[in-house]
Amino acid sequence: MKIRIRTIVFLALLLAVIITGTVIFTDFLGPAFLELSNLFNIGRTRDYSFSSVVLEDMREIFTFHTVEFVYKAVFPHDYMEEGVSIESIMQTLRSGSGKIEDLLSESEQEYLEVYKLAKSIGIDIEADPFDFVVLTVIVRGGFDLSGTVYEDPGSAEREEIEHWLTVFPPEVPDREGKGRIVVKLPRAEITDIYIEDETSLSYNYPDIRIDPDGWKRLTDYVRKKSIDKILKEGILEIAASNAESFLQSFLLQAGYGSVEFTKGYEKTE
Amino acid sequence: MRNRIIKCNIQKKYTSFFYPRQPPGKTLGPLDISFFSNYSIEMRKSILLLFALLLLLLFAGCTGNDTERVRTVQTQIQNLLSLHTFEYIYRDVVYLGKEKSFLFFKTMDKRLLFSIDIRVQAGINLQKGFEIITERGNRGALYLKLPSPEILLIDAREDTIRQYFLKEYGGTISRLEFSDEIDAVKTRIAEDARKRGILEQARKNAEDILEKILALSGFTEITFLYPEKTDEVQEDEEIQG
Repeated sequence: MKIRIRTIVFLALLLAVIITGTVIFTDFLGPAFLELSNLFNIGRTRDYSFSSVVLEDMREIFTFHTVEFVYKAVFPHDYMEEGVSIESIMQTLRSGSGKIEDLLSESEQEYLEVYKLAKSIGIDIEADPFDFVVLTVIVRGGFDLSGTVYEDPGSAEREEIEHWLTVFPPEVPDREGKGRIVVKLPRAEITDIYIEDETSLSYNYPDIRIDPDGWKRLTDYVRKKSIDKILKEGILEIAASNAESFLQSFLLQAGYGSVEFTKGYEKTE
Repeated sequence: MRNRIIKCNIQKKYTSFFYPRQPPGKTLGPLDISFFSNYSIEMRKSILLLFALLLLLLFAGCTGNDTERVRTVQTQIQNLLSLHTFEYIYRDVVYLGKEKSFLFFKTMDKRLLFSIDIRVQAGINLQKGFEIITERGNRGALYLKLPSPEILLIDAREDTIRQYFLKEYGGTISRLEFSDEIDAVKTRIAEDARKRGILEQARKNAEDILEKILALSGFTEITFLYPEKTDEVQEDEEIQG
């Protein structure tokens, strides 16, 4: 009988310790239990958030977007090559002497860079290889018309205008007897790049522990890497080609018999 | 992308508590539960309850989001035809925190203060369709039917983040915690931008630049037409009014 009572007391104590631990260290039973504990004035929880917004700046922009790349990046795994590890890198560094660039291959250098970045923002790849974050990067290509002859043809010289756009008068018609136009577009460029803002409703992956400063450094890195990747995928060529087909259909609808695009994009100085 | 197998490692520990009257010489295997018959019914119930609770706690810590697989998503290319002509930059200062105490002890105190710029861009989405109408006999005249101007982008610019302070005691700040805060002000910002006339400015600029480009192409009389008021435009005007 004595043993039985002792066992029950022990179990009760164990249960109390587990519940208390849960309340303190996890969010699993914490909120529900604390609500209950509030009734007895033994526990308290307080969430607060304030936000104030102020308009800082307003400006004119003249960007014409003609293509958009949506790219999902998985940090850090997308930037760490298979077969490379921090142990092998450290081994190489310990056994050799000289500059890091000479000792490590390109993929090892990139691995080391990502490893250091991840560690500095609180993601320890070696300790917890399951930490990751998925970022949706949106890269837009097109034309920034600000500063080109298209933004303000009034102030441009006649020669400059003719360099970009030549309209042949009806006296010099095309084969079908209609007007003809020759267009030279500014150089296509990456007009915008941004990381989609996720919320707990739209983000389906596990959340990671990171502060805003770490998030800034992480997104800077992913943004830079995404530009390289998207440029390799030919964003500028697609942007230029889309603009040509848009302008062609636009000017044909407007009554021109033919629209020509001159090769080699140049930008006004 | 590497295939990663996410495992939850539950350690099996056997202590003397679980087999008090262990027959001498008998060794228990990991799946051997014969020791259970040595307890009374009440005791078995208590042990089962304890096990159920422990399992619940272990699963709470090991499953859920951790087992979510990373889906590989390919780059998606979309054709776009949008003319962005006006931009507002807002600065959002966010302060968030959480405090927990239990039995007069502070078990959690996390606080964060940071600022971030949010940009709002407006312009014309030509992908919604446009129409060109020419006037017979007048080569220089053109009627251009365009979609109504709209807010095309509201984006929090991560590169402008400035973190003033961070305190993490008994808990950490996660990304979604602060990004939810940023998201919460977006609707307010969009309303404010509309009130200040961002759509009107975007329309004026779009007309201006199109007029100039078309003038280069030989069109001197350009008239812009917009579709009849949609619910969205009416709503914009109500906000502006």
